[in-house]
Amino acid sequence: MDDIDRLTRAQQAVLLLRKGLSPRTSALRGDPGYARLLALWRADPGLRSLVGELAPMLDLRVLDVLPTGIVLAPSGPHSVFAETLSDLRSGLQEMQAGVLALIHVGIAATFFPTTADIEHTAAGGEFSVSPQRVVGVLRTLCAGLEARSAEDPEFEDAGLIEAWREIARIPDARPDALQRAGLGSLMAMVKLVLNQLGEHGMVISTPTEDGEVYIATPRYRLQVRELAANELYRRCIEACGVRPGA
Amino acid sequence: MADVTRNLHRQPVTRQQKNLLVAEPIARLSPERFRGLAIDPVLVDTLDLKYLALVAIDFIMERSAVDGGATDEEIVAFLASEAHLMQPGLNQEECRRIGRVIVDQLANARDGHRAFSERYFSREDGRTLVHTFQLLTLAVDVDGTVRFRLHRDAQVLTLGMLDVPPDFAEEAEAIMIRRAIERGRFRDARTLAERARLRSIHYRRAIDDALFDARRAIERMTWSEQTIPMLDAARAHLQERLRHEAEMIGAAGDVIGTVSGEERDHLIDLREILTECRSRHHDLFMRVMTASEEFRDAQVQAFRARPRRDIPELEDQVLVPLLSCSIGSVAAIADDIVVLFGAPRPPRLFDLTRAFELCTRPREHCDPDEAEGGKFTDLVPVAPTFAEDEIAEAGDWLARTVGAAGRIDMHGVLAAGEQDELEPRMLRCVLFLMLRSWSPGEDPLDVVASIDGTINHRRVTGDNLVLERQPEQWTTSTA
Repeated sequence: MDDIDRLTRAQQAVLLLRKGLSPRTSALRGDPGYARLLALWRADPGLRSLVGELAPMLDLRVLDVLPTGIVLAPSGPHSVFAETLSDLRSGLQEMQAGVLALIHVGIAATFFPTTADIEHTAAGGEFSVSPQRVVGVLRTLCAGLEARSAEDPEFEDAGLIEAWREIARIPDARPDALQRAGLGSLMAMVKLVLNQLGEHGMVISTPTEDGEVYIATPRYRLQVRELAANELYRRCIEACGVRPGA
Repeated sequence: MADVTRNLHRQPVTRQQKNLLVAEPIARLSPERFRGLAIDPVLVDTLDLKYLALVAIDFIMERSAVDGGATDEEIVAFLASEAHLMQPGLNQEECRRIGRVIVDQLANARDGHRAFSERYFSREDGRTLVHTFQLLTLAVDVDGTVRFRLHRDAQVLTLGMLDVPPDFAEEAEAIMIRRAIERGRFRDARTLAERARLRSIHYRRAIDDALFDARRAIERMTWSEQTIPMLDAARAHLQERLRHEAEMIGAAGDVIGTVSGEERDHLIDLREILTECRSRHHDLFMRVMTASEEFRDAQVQAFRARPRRDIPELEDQVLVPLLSCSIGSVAAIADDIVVLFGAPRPPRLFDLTRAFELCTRPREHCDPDEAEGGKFTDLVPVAPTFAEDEIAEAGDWLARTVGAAGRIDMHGVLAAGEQDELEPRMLRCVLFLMLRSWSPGEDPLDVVASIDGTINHRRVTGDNLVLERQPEQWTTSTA
């Protein structure tokens, strides 16, 4: 801890950012130096502001600080620290990329269906989400859209297919894909994304008699609350030209 | 008059109704629940499933006193041992499967570990209402461990469905223990102390929950009206407990010297149990004493200026509109979306060993899904450094040289090559063949290779390889 105090503020700021690049490192697990840096962050507005100024230079965003560590996020897909779909699986087709992105949103919506769920931890503890439940949510929403859908000749003439129709075509599961992370079924794709979230320290898996289920970590809640929800809404309007309730 | 009687009994009945409902998940644990688990139904029928559920709750409560809860693995292992004790005919794996079903049932895992909902008739409201409750709750500890905790609803089950506040129950228990000691009923005192121990764990859980709730709703808590009175009451209660426990420990100690045999054993147990309770209450007292500061800090943090957030509903305002977009539009922003849910990852370094393994592993180990959508590029083999006739010529020369010398190192080979005026390219090929001999699977010369020091020559640097003829056989066949 003394070593940390002897560092200049700039060194402390860089060290804190470096620690934040290992999201599964915890200040509460045998890293007193990290814990000291977090204490300094809370106590020293100068350090907070310096970290805030340095982070964008590295294409990073500072979201907040948890007891376990500083929470950083890549500033966008161009960031050297961003893990994009091509890092997950090379040679993805347009449909597969779109569906994987929707699964990400679907998982977040399953964990936090309402704004209140994002803002506060459930009083009865965390609840779990199984891949089956995520698939169920997506299927239900797609079925709802199908029931409301009307043929749109303009849309079809332009060669466009709504995302829900693509998802509806993907089988729930394939016998040979059940146990693996592949792209052959919706279930396998959901598992692939959940495993990726697990690698990022966003969810933790726990066993049940019906298979693995996943629990959101405080980091995931924070990131969805502070970043993802609003950014998603903005991008949704910008890219798809849709508005709430559309 | 009849109405008055009805009113008098209405409230307790409602409470009992709710308490009964809390036991419903355990009541539903029937042998039928285990039918799909490939366990002999006759053996399952011999199990007392309700006992297993109740001891699971007790176990988690005990673990709460140590680790703030129990991990899934700990509970399953504990229940497996209990199941085996009950039915030794079950093997370890079957016992674990039974434990798993019990845990999942208590935690409502099939419904995503959410609260149970049971209907009951409320006479006061004149209609059927839904009582939601939990037995076990899931929590992610700060160290990232997932633990099950006992929900306060489950405490009703373990405290004989009395639904008495834990602080009041502790006070009542203390009075009874004191009386029992005074009257010389040491066995009863010990039994009561066991219950007091459980109550002290419950009380700790109740305070932990209250502190958690207060911290969770830090912006909505009124410091002076809610938090301070709660902490004051806890502090007063704990001070009182510590004083009483010190007196009881002292009283038990005074009597120990005057009794013998079983009574003495009861008193020793009693003193140990009370000491454990006192230690737990002392820790809790310290926690309550420092909670004021924590809350003040937390409230300062909560009320600091924050940018106004207007968080959208993910399902209705984001997911549904995105599903209505064309898949191409979604794919165009797919990376933007994925990055929003990711932590920063330092760029990966290219691992040559791993790349080599991936390129050379057998085809059947590759992902069959790649066949559906992946793009394949033909692997163009690297051109061999030496022609086949060059390799054959170098191999023959090396075989002859090793055969003649019996044992030769790289220095010797280089000297012999220069003496025979081998071309530099041929000498290089010879040295490569020597290196290949190091791996028994690829040895083109069938020799014994070893290392003898190092070599630092303009043509070769590193370990000095020594080739030796096989003791009994020698062949001139080469690569």
